[in-house]
Amino acid sequence: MPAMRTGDVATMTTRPRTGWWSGFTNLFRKELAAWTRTRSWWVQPLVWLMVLVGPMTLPLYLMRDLFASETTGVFEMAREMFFSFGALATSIGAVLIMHGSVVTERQSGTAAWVLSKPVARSAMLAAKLVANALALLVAAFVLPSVVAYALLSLERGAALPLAPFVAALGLSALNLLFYLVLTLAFGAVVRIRGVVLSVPLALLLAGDLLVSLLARGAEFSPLLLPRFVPFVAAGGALPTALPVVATVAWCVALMAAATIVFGREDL
Amino acid sequence: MDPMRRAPPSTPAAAIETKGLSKRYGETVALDGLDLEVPRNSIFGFLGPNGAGKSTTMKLLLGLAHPTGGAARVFGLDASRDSLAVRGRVGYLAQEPRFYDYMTARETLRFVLGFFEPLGARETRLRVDEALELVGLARIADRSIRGLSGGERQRLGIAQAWIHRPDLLILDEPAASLDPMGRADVLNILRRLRDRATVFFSTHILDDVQRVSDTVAILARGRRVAQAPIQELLTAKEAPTFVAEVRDVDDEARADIERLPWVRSVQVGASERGTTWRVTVTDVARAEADLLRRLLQDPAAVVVEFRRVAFELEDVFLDLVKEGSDAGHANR
Repeated sequence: MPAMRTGDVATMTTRPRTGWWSGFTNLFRKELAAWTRTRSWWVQPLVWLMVLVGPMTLPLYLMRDLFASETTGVFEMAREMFFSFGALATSIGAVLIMHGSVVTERQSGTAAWVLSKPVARSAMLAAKLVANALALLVAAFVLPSVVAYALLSLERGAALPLAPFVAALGLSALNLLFYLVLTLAFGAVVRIRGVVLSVPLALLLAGDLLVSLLARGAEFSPLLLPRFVPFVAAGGALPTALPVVATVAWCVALMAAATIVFGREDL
Repeated sequence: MDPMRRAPPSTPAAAIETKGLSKRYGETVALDGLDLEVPRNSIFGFLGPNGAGKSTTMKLLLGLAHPTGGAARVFGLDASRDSLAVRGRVGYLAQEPRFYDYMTARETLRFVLGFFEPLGARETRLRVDEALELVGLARIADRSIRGLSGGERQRLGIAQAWIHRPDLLILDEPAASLDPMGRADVLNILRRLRDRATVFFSTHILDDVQRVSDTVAILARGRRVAQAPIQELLTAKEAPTFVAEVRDVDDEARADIERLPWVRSVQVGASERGTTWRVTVTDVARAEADLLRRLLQDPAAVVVEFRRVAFELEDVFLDLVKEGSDAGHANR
């Protein structure tokens, strides 16, 4: 290595940009690589295909006679299964995938290591959210949705109207995003992995009960979204846009709170 | 006005400057009003027993923890308010370095470099290769970190701290988990970096500090109990003393030596080979020139051994830490 004078240091030192996004791009690439550079890039889409499209095959092919006796018919049953079960399953997947994201890094010491670089804590949380949301949307939505659309169109004998199908997927994606944010926020605030996992799951599974308890108040929460998904997929108009707006607001508020609390934490 | 809140000078003399820096965790005082000044381009040893507050200080400098009192500046930048800018100029090695296990050493260094200004593919490759070479990891650069030994991880820790050529290296126990060969390598690396950056490192291995540091600070119970150039610290604690192991020297010779104006005291004790004289002096140069000659003036005298007592950093460290702890207890 060639000798270097003291004065050279200033010119040779690389200078980072600073701001709330500082370090985002590098961390985003790293988070995404956890999907793209491992078996996840093909395992996850296949698993989601089986989980989301598999149940549809019961009314469509495997137990057609049983479902044909239902008043709603096999086509409606299959569509209902895909969207209702899909909204629930993808949200559970989001919680499972995201719950260890911050907690593990904090416990292992890699969070402190990364944050000893010019990395804003907000950028660290944002990179985890954006990368995992993107990866999960691609893995859990793209392939299963294309196959489901094809199967439903085949059953119907004509192409399904695209707008309601896409709108329902959009609502489902927003629901998934909320649980990603909720789990990430809990992970940033709470140090116990079990709590980070159980609180969002409890909210998810007790959704119907909470909707009953909250009555009109449920409109100011994301809890109604899973109910709206199959309704919109069937061509119905969104009864109220309030839960959509509220979900976006909850996501922003949770991220802001997580950023503030995580920003004050001693690592 | 808080002296640390003044506008940063354009070229601050100190790489690190803390004033009354404090950190409490509930009732526990981790750091208690630390005043520290680390000169630029020095190798600064930061010593203290377990729990003295060394790692806490380093975390406060990097914004990984938040002070409960006082302030710290790094190159004139406020360590809390300008934390991102500070971290842009610092390379840090934690006490127990942790990395993403699925990455290789090379990928880890590329990842770290990615947090700094883009360099281009060729420059990035050169930097990574250079850092791997510096710490002797080139041979296993493409092995997963999962398979690296503790010592190899430590070396990788130094490489990742240095990869972006920081102005300041903060190293928490850089040689802790290394074997003697590894320790020697790390000390050599620190020496090689001396002209390129300021090195602020903590360690329990006092011999390492004595070998490479220009200046040391000693911390006890969250307080600084000493800061000085290492030679000053080693000589300031005790008056210069010479030890002579002699046989067949009479009392008159001892009285002659005690009468010398530059001799402070002579203590005599029995030893296996005769008698041991501990001669404390006020003028080292005169003692070095004359003392042995005076002893040998008696033709019957036999001098078996003659040397100046070199105080080891360990002696100084233990004394200062004890004093610091006693003072800490008295104040609480």
